[in-house]
Amino acid sequence: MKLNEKQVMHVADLARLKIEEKEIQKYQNQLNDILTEIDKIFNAKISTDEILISPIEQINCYNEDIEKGMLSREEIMKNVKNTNGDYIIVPRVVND
Amino acid sequence: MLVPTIGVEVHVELKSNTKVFSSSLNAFDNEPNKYVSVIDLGYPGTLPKLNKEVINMALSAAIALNCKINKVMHFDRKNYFYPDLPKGYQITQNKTPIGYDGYLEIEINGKKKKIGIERIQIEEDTCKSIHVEGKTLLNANRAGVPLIEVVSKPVIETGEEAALYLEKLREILLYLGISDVKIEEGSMRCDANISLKEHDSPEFGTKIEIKNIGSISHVKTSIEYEEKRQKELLLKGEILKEETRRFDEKTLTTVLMRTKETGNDYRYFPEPDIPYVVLSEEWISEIKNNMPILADELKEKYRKLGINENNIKTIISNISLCKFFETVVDKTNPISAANILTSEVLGYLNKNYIKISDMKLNQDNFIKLIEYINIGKISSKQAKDIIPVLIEKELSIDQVISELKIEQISDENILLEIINKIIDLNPNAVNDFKDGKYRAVKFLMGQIMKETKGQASPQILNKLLTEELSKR
Repeated sequence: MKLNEKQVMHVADLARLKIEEKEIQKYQNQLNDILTEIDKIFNAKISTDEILISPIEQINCYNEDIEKGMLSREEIMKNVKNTNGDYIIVPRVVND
Repeated sequence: MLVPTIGVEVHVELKSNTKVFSSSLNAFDNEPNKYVSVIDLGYPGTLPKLNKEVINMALSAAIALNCKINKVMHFDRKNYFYPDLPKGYQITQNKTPIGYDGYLEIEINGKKKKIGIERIQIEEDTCKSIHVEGKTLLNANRAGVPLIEVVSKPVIETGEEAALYLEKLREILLYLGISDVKIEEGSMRCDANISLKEHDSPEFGTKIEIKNIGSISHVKTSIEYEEKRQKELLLKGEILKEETRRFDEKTLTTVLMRTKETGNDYRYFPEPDIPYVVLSEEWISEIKNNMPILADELKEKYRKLGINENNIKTIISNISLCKFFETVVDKTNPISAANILTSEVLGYLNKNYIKISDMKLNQDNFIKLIEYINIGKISSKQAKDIIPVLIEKELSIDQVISELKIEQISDENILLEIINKIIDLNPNAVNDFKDGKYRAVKFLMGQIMKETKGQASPQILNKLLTEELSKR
């Protein structure tokens, strides 16, 4: 499977990335290299339709419904670029 | 002829103690960013872990909605970039929803109709975003709150059916005790999909989604509006595009939001961080055996007890009231109890904005109240004075009766003395009675009530007065 320029732009758009016209070729090559590797998986001979979601064979790992510590507001805000009172400011993305 | 195809998707917040994939509190608070952990914020290197109680709750919903159960489940990542989703993906169930192929039953124009349920899936809620002054502000208290998404099959034919479906779904989830299901507070959120097709066409028309509709009645209105709008466009020969619209509550119309990302754009893939969940038969039976009594069963029980439909509706539509009623219904006259509860008690609570959980009226007092009315110790009219005091103050009914000095005279000897005194004073009324004029009894009753300042027990008085008059 290979991505064309339009598909590369679409992927960029879904990831909210701005790509310059001249960069398209570079990312197209990188993505196609990855997809070429993935194609090898599709070509592997498998005997079952069952999907494997994890190499670990453990099942049913749960939390009990009990609170076990949360971050303080200071800790939360440490990694936040812009704040407004106790809120985190993020890029505005309303498009209605 | 163009016919609509309607499907409804509902997101319901589950009221577990903690979040679905972290041990943060699942609580509503006016203070933002208070109940947050590194998992809710999607910090690199963190590992989500599933809350067992959320599975129990979702399982009970799947069973109550007659779904088949996916006994081996995994989770999936739904990828999209949006600031309210710090990880860049939502953990959800795409391939193995906990429940599928179920139904619930609605009643429309006196006929029962099954509305199919396509799937129930467990997923996490996102941060809440608030848009103010050109900025978007995030509150992560909601990030990771457990949700179930309940998707109906596209078998709903009218806006009214959609509204009935939602009311029924709400009632079931409320009585399961797994959610507050309050649309106005966002613990239940409704989207509707609607498309039109020629009635004999095997293919569906272009699907248009109406997002986040603010009330059940607006679901009906918005579907009816959308049906009309699409019909007009199609009849003009226009080609519709898949899009998302919102309902404008002021104009009662739908407004375009955005053209929709298609399913492929979400690039679903299995969530490797959460191991398989295997639901054993024992686990499923345990949930089944511990299910609370649901509204339909209660309605049936109340009908059998002879309670009228209006009272049943009032009791069932108010779950706190229903819970109170359940604690007394088997210990007293159910019909009188339903009457008093839905009229005097509920009336006073509503008028004074008192929550049932805050009222002081307890089961013992309520049962005695019904008993005293039925044996004639107090009249219904006097009960109206007693009930507000029982609701407001922590007093026993006997204390209230003596405090208000409203106990009835039900001692037959005292009453007989007064009755005979009044009869002697009113010979004309006695003659009227002999002539078969019933109003004479009423007149004498009035005179005796005046004499006793309204404290004579009406039932006993009526009996004794008739007996005494017959002797004359």
